Formats: sequence, C-alpha cells, structure tokens
Amino acid sequence: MSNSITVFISGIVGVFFGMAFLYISMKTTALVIDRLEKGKEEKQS
Amino acid sequence: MMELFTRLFQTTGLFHLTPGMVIMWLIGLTLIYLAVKKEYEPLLLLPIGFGIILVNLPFAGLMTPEEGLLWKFYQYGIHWEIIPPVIFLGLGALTDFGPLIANPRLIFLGAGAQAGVYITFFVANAMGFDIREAATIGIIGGADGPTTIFLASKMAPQLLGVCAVAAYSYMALVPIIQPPVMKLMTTEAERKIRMKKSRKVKKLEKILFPLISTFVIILLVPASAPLISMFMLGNLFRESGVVERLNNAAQNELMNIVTIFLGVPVGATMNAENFLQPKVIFIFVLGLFAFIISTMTGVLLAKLINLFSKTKINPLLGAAGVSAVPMAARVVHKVGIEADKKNYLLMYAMGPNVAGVIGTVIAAGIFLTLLG
Repeated sequence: MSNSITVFISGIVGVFFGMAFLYISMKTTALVIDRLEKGKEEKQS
Repeated sequence: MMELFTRLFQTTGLFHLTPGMVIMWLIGLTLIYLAVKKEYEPLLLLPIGFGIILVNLPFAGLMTPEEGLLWKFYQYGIHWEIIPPVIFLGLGALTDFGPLIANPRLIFLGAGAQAGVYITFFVANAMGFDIREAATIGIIGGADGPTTIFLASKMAPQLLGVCAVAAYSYMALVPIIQPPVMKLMTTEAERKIRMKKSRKVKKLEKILFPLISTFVIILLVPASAPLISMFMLGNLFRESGVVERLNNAAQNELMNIVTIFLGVPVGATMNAENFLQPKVIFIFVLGLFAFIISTMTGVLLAKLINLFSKTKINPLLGAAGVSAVPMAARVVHKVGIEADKKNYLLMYAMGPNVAGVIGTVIAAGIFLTLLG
C-alpha cells in the first residue's frame, strides 16, 4: 500500500511537472520568436 | 466403422468446444455488432471482435507460442513495442497543436485529467489488483487506446485484451459518459463563459513545438520515449510542410495497416480462460470510474485555475483533458452550445484534448519508470 501511495503522489506530481516544463518552453519559444521578429522589423524600418 | 467415425469426430474442433468458448464468440460477435451497427470505434472493435472469435476456435492454434499466426503478430507487433508507437506516428501527423500553442495554459487541463488515472490506480490496488495490474487499469482513464495497449503489454499482458476493449468501448461512449458529469460539476453561468479570442500561431512555433516537446518530455520521463518520439516525429512531418508524402503515408496507409495488425492480436489475447473471470467485471467498472474521475478532475482544475486567473477558462474545457481525440473536444463544444448557442468551444477544447494525449503518455512513462 505504501508503494502505491508513492506511485500515486509521484505520478500526479510528475505529470504536472512535465506539463509545467512544456508550458514554460512554449511561452519561451513564443517570446523568443516575437523578439526576433520585432528585431527584424526594427532593422528594416 | 463407428470407431473410425468417433475418432474422426474427436479430431474436430467441435468435440473440444467448451461453453466458455461459445460465450467468447458471443462477446466477439457483440463487439462486431457494435462496430458495424452502432459504429462504436469500428476501426478497432471490429478486428478485436474477430480476433476474439478466432482465438476461441478449438485447435485453430492461432495463438500457439512460436507457431500461431496471431501470436507472431502479437509478439513482433505489440510485445516488441512496434505497433503502438507506429500508431502514434500517424496520430502525430493528424494532430494540430495550434490551439494548444495559442493557449499554453490549457496544457494543465491535460495534466488535470490524468489525476483520474492515478486515483483509479490507487483504488484498483486497494481492491486487490497487484500494483502492475492496477497501473494498467488506471491508464484506461487516459482514454488513449494505443497507450493502454503499450502499457498493458509491458505491465500486465494478461489484462491487455480486456483493458483495450474497455478503453475503446468507453472512448466510443464519451458522448454518453461525459455530459452528465460535466453538468454536475459546473453551473449554468460557468458553462456560458466565453473564451478570449486565440492569437494566431506562427509556422515556426508549430515546427519547434514537436522538437522542443521531444527534448523536454524524453529528458524528464525517458520511459515515454517510444510513444512520444513517434508522436512528435509524425507532427514534425505535418508541420514542416516539406515531407508531404511521408505525412500522408503516416496518417493514412501506415496507420491503417498497423491498425489491422493491432486489433486482431489484441482480440486474440482474450481466450475464455483469461477473460471469463470475475475480475474482468471489476476492470470494466474501474475503467468507467477512471473515465468519470478524469472528467471530474479536469473540470475541477479548470475551476481552480479560474480562482487565480483574471482571464477565465470555461471549465467545460477541463473535460477535454482526457485524450479521446477529437470526441471529447466535440462533447465539450456540444455541452457549451446547449448553455449558450453562440459559445463555440471546439477549437479551444482541442488544446486540452491534445495535451491529454501528451499527459497520458507521460503518466504511462511514469508507471513504467516506477514499476517497470
């Protein structure tokens, strides 16, 4: 039973942890792409 | 003469027929009926139903180790982890991550629904299933057929057939199972919440998403690599726009071919001795429980996010966090429309829906890491 509690807790935490990393990477990617595009636009103007 | 006739009769399958085999034929025929007449997940339930009938024909020997035709399909296709990842390649090629990239916070709803997987795992273990069987039963709540088959083949091959049938049956029943739960968990006012208009997603973001996800997920949960790598490769085929032939092959021909070789051997794991046990009924009940709890936890998480967020999420979207793509998203849209005729939730619901696929793969990977 104690083993299943460990799996239960680490499973839920692990899934949220993984999704949080993906969330951060999506946000960062969007930010970097935006910055790069703005930089390009500024150079052109 | 009579003795010869008796001996001849004894060599036929008819002589070795058992009542259990006949019951299994009826179960196989029922699945075929549901596939043909009701169109419940016909691509899988039809070959599974046929596989059940085949393996319960005495002396056919199709699942005889090393010799049987279906045993070879099972051994080299499923046990060797080939078919579920190839299905994921096709799914990746079919998936548009745009709605998720446009609303990244919806990814948490895909995680929220996985709580149902772990709650069911815990309950199944408490009910007496061993820990590896409990993990296999829990993953049914992820509503993802290939992931269920993938995990079952590694953790509890004896439950593979029943868990696959439970997962696909309940996936087909999503429009019946989910709406009452969603309505129970939300108020009319919550169901009317309109989502903020999504931003336009750039092509570069869509190309980078499968690459970055591959790094992030495999570095965190290496055991999920077979499924997530193929899923993201398929998506890269799609989004790159330069390998249209591979993209088409992955989502059409390849996926169709492996679906045939998946369904029949899965059905063939269900012989009468394995299947006709009281625990099978518990597995179906727990599978339904998993679906309901996953829907509830997804909706609850959306409501929790709303407590801390200025921009509200329609909590119905949480129900799309189970993987059944795109059925769960369609159900969210339908329930949303019932509350407010102009509230179009389909595109928003696709975000947590595809996040649910990723979430279920991560959940399976964690089970494999901890219990494999």
